[in-house]
Amino acid sequence: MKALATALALAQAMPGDEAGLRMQMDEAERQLRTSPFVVADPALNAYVGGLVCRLAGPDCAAIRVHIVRTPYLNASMAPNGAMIVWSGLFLRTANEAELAAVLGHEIAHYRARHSLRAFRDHRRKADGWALLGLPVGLVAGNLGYSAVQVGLAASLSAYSREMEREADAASIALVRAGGYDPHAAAAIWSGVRAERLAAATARGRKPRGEGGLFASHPPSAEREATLTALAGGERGRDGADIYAAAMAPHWRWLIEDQLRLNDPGGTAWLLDRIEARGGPPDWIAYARGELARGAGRLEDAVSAYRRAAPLPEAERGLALTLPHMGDRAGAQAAIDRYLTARPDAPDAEMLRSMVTP
Amino acid sequence: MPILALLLTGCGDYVLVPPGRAVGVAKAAMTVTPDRAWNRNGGLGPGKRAESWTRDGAMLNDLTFYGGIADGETLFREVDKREAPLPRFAAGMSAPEIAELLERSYRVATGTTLFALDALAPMPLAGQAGFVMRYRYTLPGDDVARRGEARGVVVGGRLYLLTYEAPAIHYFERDLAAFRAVADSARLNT
Amino acid sequence: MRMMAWVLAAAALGGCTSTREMTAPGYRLPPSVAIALPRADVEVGRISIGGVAQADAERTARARAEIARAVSVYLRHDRVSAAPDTPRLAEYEALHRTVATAIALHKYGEVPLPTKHGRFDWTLGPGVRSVIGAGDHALFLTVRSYESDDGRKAMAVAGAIGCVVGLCLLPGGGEHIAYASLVDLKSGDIVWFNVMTGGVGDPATPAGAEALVAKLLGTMRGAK
Repeated sequence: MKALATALALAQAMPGDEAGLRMQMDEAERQLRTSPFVVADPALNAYVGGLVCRLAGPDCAAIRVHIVRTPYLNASMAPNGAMIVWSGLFLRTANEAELAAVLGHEIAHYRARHSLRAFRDHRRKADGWALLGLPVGLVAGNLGYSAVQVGLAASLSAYSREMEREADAASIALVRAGGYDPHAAAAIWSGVRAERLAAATARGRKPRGEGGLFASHPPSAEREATLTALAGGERGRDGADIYAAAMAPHWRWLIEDQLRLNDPGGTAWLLDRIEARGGPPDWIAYARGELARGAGRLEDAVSAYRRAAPLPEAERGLALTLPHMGDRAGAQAAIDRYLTARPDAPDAEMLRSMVTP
Repeated sequence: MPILALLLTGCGDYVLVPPGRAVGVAKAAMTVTPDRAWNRNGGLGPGKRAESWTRDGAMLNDLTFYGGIADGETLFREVDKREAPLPRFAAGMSAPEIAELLERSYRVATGTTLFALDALAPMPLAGQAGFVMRYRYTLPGDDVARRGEARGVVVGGRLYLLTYEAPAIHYFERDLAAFRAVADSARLNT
Repeated sequence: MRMMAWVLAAAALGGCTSTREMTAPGYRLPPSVAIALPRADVEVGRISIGGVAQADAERTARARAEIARAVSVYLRHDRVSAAPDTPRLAEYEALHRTVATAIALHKYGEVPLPTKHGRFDWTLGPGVRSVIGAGDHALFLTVRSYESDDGRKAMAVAGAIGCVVGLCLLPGGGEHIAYASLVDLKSGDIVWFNVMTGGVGDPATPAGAEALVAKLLGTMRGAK
């Protein structure tokens, strides 16, 4: 490893890298402002932005939240203060405390300037390993060179995991300072694991293993345990009511984006949780009907759709399910009810033609 | 499925499809007669029963033929079978269910959340009772609003489908007639 | 994806500085023509020994300004004006990137389209006129200019020596790709298109930007 140390020392410093990263992100943000994937809803943006401000205090002015319509759990922080929150997060945080834990984690990345440090680490190591790789390659051939490249990747991932641990620890302090239950941070990761298990089980598989040499984040079990320990015996408010009120206008599209992912196990698990925290009973029942219809469980689908009535979309679900059970009259009646409620439905002409003999 | 076609076909050569001549597509599952020249992607198609044509490039106008998707098959090749498997066609599916299959396949394969059905109506294909589907979508990382029109029919438990997609600005309207000429000429080789 | 297509296409163009233009048959820039210049897509930076690209904000901003200035000198001030940045222009910029990618793949790259043989007829459609506003033509410019650090240049030399003993590691020099397309605002057609690979100086300096513009626009008939 002496060669590596020498190589690292040789790699030159490059001033101005921080401004360069900011500029690239500014450009990306410029495109983001006109991107159709950005969720423009003022109330939702005000809610998430307001929470960031309460947690970040004086850093609030420097951070801009962009909610991007992507149905998976993620949030990220760029060095120029652009915080990107994927819409799938809102289905997976149970209350305001959990959302605060995720936002707090990103605020911690911003404060510690983690993306800049990651970039510098990448450049420093890439340069060092390049200097190391050449002589090793000359001596040991391509295999030796590959080994050096593998070493570089592993080293970068280890650094990334270290920063994630730092941000996790800092997020607990922010959550606590906000008066929230510090256990919320750990709860997110127990949820992630349970959802992955449910998704994999429905597909007849085991969940894919986590962690290892090349993982950018520590395994969720480790994060959950560490965060639980950091939270200690203290409790705080969970802000479940405020969160439910903020999400109420959005459940429909959040659930629909998730439904169309062909992930019956994970979706069913999420629906149970959303129901438990006061999600909309009609849309949850409708979504369960859709899952059952997709799986060919026709009786279950019909009973779920009937619970979702008088939601017009549930009538459409019945209209598509009943023909498979030989109930053409029932399907006809459901189509009539659906089209009475939604005369301009895009599939109106098709549905009308399906029942006329 | 222009992006997929690009990613999966790599540097597959394009072959001229001359106008006015009947040509077998998607492993001869269908025969069509285009009214103007197209370029057939001769490489690996987006799926084992699929074949793609274009006029200006796959992301500017894409005509894909799905020739006889059987019960239990996916529309195109899996992208991440383990973590994000594609939905599968079932022989008894109705037209609205096939429209859902197409939408979900795109959502899973490309990660888009911007996909909307504009219209679904009955329309014969190859003399059989089929359907026409109109839709719009945007791919992440591209931000070009696209529109699509699909024509399909299920015969003998197999799905025969043609999709045409192009940017909503200019391209979709310009080449729509060329697509419809191909779709109207389609015959099934069942 | 987009830049990847260009990197592949650039490989086909070969090593040193070179340009290859595409023109609609018989196209020549008319003597009195108003050219609108949308904000150029520019990125300038450095590549470290290990191959990590680092953008330089200050030099990028300077290069964007210098390139715009050099374009209006080269094409004559009275003919060139800046196009306002609007959300609808962003839609056309996105379409333009897609069209440029298709040109990269199918005209410059390894995947020619038989129907395009001997022709150059890509378009943005006539709607582009309402977005740009004034002018007869619009000139879209994309510039990526990454210089290698000295250490990386040394590596390239050392890597070449390695080739002799059977291990080829060529970390390459800098990466310079620029392309320009001239759009006729009446039809939306791309009437002239040019790609340049290889560096001709630092585009963040007046002289470098002038050299880049002269090389990139040098093949446009009627430009001077």
